[in-house]
Amino acid sequence: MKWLGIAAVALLAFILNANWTKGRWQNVAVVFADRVVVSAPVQVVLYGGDRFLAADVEAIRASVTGMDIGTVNLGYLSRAQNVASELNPCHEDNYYTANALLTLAGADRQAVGILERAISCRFWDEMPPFYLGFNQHFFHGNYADAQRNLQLAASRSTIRTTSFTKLAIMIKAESFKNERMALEFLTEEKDKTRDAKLRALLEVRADRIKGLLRLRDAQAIYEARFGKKLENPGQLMENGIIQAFPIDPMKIGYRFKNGEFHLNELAMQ
Amino acid sequence: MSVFAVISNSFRLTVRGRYLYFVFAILVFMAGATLMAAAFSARQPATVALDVGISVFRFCIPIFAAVVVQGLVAHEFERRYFLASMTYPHSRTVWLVGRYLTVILLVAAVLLVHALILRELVEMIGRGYSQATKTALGQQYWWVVGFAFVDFVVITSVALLIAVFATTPGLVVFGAIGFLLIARSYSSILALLDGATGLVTNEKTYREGIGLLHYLVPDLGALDIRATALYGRMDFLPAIWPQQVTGALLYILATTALAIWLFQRKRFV
Repeated sequence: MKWLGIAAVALLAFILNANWTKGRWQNVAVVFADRVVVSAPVQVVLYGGDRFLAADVEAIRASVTGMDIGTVNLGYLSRAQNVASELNPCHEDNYYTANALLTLAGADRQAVGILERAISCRFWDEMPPFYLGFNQHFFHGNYADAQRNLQLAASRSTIRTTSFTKLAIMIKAESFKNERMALEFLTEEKDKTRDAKLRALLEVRADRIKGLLRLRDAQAIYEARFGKKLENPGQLMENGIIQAFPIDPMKIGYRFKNGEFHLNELAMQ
Repeated sequence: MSVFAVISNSFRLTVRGRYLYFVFAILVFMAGATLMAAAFSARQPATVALDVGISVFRFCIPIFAAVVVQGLVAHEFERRYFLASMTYPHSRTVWLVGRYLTVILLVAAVLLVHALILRELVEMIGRGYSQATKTALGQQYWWVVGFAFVDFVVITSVALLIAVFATTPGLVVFGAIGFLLIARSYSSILALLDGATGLVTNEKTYREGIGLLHYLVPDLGALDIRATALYGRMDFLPAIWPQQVTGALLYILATTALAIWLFQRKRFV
């Protein structure tokens, strides 16, 4: 009985002490506040040598916790999805969401590696080369690479060979100013996804591109009407071609550079 | 007394040891994980389901095998059952081989049950959503299961070797899990180190160190050919698969022979 009393008193003292020390000291000085992504070789060991499982879990984690309606944690998503892509470059969900979320949210450079790995791993799949070609054309004006990837997509496709080839030829002629065809294609892809949350996000991304298309259309009208290059986006408003600039639903915005409208890119390390 | 008598006795021992509850638990776990993982995939639910299901049985069945080896061999020494079982008119070799074959037969049966149920589950999930790249549940799937069986037999043989010389039965399961981790992950780690700069400080010596493992441990990571079934392409089967399987079979022969040799000289105290 005596020892039980000693144990009870000591336990009580321990709890009081714990209550006092709580919050007064931190074991790890937090300097890196962003979320942790474990590097690929370490994940292989953590998952019992099973890189496929590691890729599945990382892709699920990224898609479940990396986005909210309208906002994405881009720094985290880009790191997590790149690691998932190293573990299993063939993972379809991973390259699809990486393209949808990273690219259209202004971090398309971070998605290039994922798409390139998917192109070489999924040697039969027409979608990764199409996405990469589309990005290279639409975001960077890199016509040679865009054409090469679209032709690769055309050679892999069984039902879309002609439309991909047409796109590639139009890009080659540099007459391809009508991105609507590609936008429609992306919209169709969006409708195919099962996940309501992802679909809502893709909706926002599509609206962002529609805003850009409106700006480019207005520019074309201006240039046709006045017979000279547009120098300043403000001229569109002054001449009444548009009433207001389109508002980017993602709040990243558009920019006018070298006489062309582009999507703004987010600055990321 | 023939080896068949030993096998039938050992089977009765496993039934009495209630290992079948363990099998049932793995089955429930596999089915649950498979169904839940599919719900998290936007574009390829059947592929992710198959992937996670294979991961579950690839990890759990070798542990089951090690537990049975522990029960049939290591416990025999610890609990001094050999005082009775060794008095029967059969050699030590027949006794050990009989117990070993019992475990192999059990593993084969358990794997077959899991593979059949997983196949049904994935087919059911596949009917709910038509994905662009379908899983291959025919011939390719059974190749994956066959390779997994070779992998399991390697781990069982290593567990048998440990059971013969271990002084505590617990070492069998832990040793088998440790072996599984190393044998399945080292080749992936070597491949993935290319993408992870700065993860290890002295990469060259680290690589050489892991490279040495290639001569000590069979590359079980190479026996994981599930990409063939996940994406329905036989091209994912490595070109040198006959040599890799031969290596694993030679390792099985070597460890089992060593276990028999050690067991013939074992001194019970």
